[in-house]
Amino acid sequence: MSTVQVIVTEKEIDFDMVARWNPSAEHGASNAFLGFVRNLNLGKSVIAVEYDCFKPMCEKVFNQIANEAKSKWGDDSNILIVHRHGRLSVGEASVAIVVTTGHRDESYRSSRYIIEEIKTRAPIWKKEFYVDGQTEWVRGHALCQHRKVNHHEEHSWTDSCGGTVHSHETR
Amino acid sequence: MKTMNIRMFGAMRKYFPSGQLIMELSEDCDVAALRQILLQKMIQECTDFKDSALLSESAFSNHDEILQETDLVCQQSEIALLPPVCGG
Repeated sequence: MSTVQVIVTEKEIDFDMVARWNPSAEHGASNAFLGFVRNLNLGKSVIAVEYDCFKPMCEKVFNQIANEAKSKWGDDSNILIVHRHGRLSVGEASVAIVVTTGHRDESYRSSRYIIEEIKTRAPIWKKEFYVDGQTEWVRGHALCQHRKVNHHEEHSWTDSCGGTVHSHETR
Repeated sequence: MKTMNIRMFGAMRKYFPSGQLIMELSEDCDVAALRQILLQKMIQECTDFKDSALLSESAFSNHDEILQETDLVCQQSEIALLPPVCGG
């Protein structure tokens, strides 16, 4: 019995829970990804961000993405996705993804897929607060109905509107 | 006519801080028509709103899925307007 757990919360991410999260004793690999708020974006000094989200749809999209990952890299994998909303300071964790699998390869691949899909499909928006007192909503990826996703390339993904997103891009 | 609550998120909150806009729509209004009517309504309600490209790049959704341009919206009493996303 595998597990998918999604959490969209204003509370700080519990690192201890993330590190220990492994519902299956037969799984030897746990890949935990953490995303943090950076102090710099496009040359501007950032002091904080505010995440807005459409929570019911966000939870649904997280579940869809997790189940897609399971279908590709193992139906028995366990997946935890935690995403913050509200205001976060620089250095706070905004997202955590844990994938547990029998062996490490599937957990790495699945985790990478999940974070890339979240960035282009989850209804979440980010407002940045800068040192100079200005604020700006970050212009991200347009949502669209028809998807073309390259699931098997190691270093590139195709975003939800057909544009290629390279793994080295800072987003 | 039907009263529709348009929920606003992300960059749209810059122009509509309350996060919603109420409008009247005809029963046969689809998403494409809603987009045109909404643009006029947004310009009317917020004189600072000049970013029509933001509306063009935005999707509409009920609580479950992204709606297609040809989907009728009269079944809904609330629609979410989703600008380009930036999670993670």
